[in-house]
Amino acid sequence: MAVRLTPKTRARLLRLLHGETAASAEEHELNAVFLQVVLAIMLIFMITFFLFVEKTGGEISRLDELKNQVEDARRDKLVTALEHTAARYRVRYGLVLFLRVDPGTGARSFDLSGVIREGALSSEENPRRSFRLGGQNAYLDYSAPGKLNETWESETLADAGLKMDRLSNADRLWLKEQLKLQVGQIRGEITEVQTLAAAALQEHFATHPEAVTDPELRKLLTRINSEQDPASRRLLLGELTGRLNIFVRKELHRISEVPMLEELP
Amino acid sequence: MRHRLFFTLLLAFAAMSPLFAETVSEGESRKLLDNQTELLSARLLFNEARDRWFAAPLPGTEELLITRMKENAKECAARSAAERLMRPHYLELLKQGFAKMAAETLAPFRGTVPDAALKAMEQTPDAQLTAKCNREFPAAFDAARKKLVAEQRAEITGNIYPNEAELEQNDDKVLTAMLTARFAERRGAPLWEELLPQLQTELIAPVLRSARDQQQRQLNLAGQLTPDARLWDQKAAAADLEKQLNTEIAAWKVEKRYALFPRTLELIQKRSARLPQERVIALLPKIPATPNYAVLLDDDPEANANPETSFRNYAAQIAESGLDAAQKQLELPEAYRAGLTNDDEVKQALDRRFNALKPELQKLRNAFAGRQLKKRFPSVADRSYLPEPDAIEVYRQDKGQMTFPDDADSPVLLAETRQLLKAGVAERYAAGNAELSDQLETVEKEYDNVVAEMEKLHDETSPSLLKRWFGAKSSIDLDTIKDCYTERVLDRFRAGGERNYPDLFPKTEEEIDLRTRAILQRLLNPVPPPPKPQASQLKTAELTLIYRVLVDTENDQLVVRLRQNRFAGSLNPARREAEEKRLIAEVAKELDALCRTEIQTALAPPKLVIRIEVGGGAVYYRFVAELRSALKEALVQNGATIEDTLDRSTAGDQ
Repeated sequence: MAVRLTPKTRARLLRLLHGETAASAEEHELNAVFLQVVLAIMLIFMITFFLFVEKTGGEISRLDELKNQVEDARRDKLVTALEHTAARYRVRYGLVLFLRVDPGTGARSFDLSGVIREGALSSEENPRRSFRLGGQNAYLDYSAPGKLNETWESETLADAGLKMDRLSNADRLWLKEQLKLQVGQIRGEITEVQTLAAAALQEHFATHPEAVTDPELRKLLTRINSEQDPASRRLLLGELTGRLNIFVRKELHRISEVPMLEELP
Repeated sequence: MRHRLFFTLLLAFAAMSPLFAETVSEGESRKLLDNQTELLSARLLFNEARDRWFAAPLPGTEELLITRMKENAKECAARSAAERLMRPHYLELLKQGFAKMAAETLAPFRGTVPDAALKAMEQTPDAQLTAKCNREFPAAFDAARKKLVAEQRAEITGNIYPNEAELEQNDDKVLTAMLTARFAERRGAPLWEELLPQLQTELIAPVLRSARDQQQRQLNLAGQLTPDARLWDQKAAAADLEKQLNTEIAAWKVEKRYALFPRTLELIQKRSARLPQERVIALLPKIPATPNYAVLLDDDPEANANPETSFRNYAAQIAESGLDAAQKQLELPEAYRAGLTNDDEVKQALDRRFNALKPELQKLRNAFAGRQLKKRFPSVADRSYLPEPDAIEVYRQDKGQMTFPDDADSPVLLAETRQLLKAGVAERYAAGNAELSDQLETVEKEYDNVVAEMEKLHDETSPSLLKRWFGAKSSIDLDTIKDCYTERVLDRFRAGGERNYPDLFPKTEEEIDLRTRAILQRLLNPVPPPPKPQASQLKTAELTLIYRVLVDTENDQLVVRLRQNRFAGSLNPARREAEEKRLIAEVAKELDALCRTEIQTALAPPKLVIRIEVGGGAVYYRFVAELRSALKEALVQNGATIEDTLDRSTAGDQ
């Protein structure tokens, strides 16, 4: 918006700047003068700002570094404590005897070669005891998952010498996640061991099919062999597989006195 | 063979080697279990199928053996040779069957179960197959052989059997000749005469018997089978019947199974055409009769008074309602309803239905009549009805004369009620008549007593005592005697039991009056005492025998009684005269015999009194006169002296 100066005002300004008379001064010359003034003020402020930032930024990064170091140390403690807890539970569940870890690759495998012999639980004390007691302990623990998680948590924190209320929110969340992961992993290992035992027993039945005397299964076999329709027969075969899996787990439960984890919801 | 066994063992070992000789990587357990489960499924299924296959005979082997024997007919003509040839063939069939069974059972497991394990299962169990062959072959061979022989026999005799039309058109004799000729023709040369009887009895007769039996069975079945209840159309019903019949025939075990005979077809057509009538007739007996006859009787007894009319009307009503109900129950289409009413067989069925009901209807009528009698004529029903004494006397003269109670002609009375009424009234009249007879008999008996006592008193005592005896105040007159006599009669009569008519009937009074006069006459003119008999006469007088000859009618019969003997003859007008003559002869003969017996046994000739008494029945005087003459004749023949007192009798019945 162009403001038209009164001739009197213009003359005063020109006199202040140039000392000349009002008659010879123009409006754009006045605008240029104002611009120079504003730039000079901005330059002063910018120099001040950059000097401030340079000084405070360094202090903040030093603080962050310190904080990370503290957190890492706490996590290490918790990781170690988690490993200790997991190791204790593996012992409790008899997994140590069956679990093999390749030192080179870290690949894990299971050896149940001595557990099931001739369709019965091995008479060797160690594998027998590990499988039976471990399985029973596992069933007992995993029957109450809430309590198991709490126990894991308290044992881990105790092992780490920490308390939950002293942990940051992030650590708390991280710990919960790790506990869940570890409990689940060990359950998977137990299931793996029991499934391998079931497979070993199933192998025995496959070698001695006459040992399968369940009357319902026998009826189903007759029905399948009498069925002429291929689609129905396929469905019945699926039913047979399902029933044989249930059958072998029941038999494993019977001979080992170990309730299967798969029986849990 | 040894290599093969070794290979099999290797396969089996490979299939069954333990999978847990070394460690198993994490995550592999599920796959391992699945593999083992799949292997177990295959083995279980295969074992089950194998056991079943071995337990059951191989199907279709008979046909295969038959085909093979036909292909090698020459070699298989002898049974033993055929058995030798067929046994390896049967074993081969078993092997093929086993391989097929194994392949089919294990097909779903190819790719999931190791091939080695499958091959081990599919391996042919030679020893078991041989055992199965030994077990099953004899029966299969025997069955196949029997079928072959039967087939050949049928083929040989097939052209010789008479066909359906021939069987219906000719009798067995003609057919026997016809079949004999066919045998000869088939042989191409004449049959030896000596062979003919054997041929006819052993071959032709059984063939004809079987054919005739089938003919009869077809006819029976055609008459018994029922077509589908939904069918009404003649063609459809006939087709259904034929189908049913053919199904039955297919199950007959006969050497030659005949198709439907023309007569059977005719019967089927006939039944199909009359299906509505037949079904209605069959259903009619099961339909309850409406309207209710008892209700009809109650509602309108007048209209049903005559049983014939009533039954006729009721038969028409239940026929109509029965037909309607049957048609509704059968859901008979409208088109088939028209001819039912006028059909003769339907009418007969309706008549049979009504006739079956008739006894029950009659019972209803009888019960109603009983009720009606009780309601309208209670005195007749409870047997308290008493006809007037005069009426009883009229009835005594003519049994058809009876006076019935008022309202006896009411139109509302059923015929049965009328009969009951008539019988009841007649019974009461008969009872009254019996009492009248009793009175008359009493009169007669008392007459003898009175006379005897009177004469005794008259002879032995003073007249005043006799007067007192008669109850006379001054002199003995007719009234005095009558009163005395009447009183004695009444006393004696009433003492005989409970009486419906305790007083005297007019006829009795008349009789008393007559006899009173006789007594009075006897009193006034006493009979002079008989002269003293001689010694011989005394002996005669010592024994007096009285024979009563009772003549009366009973139940349309003329009856004569002499002592314990009863002689009866028909009252039929056509035979009456002859019957009377016979009776007279028989009675005379009996009297003659009696007299002879008495004369022989008596010390002195007895005095015989023959008294002929005539009852209330319709007895002709002529008969009595002839009887009297005949009896006199009989006595004369015995040398008796006859004294006929008929002239002195006042009653006229002695």
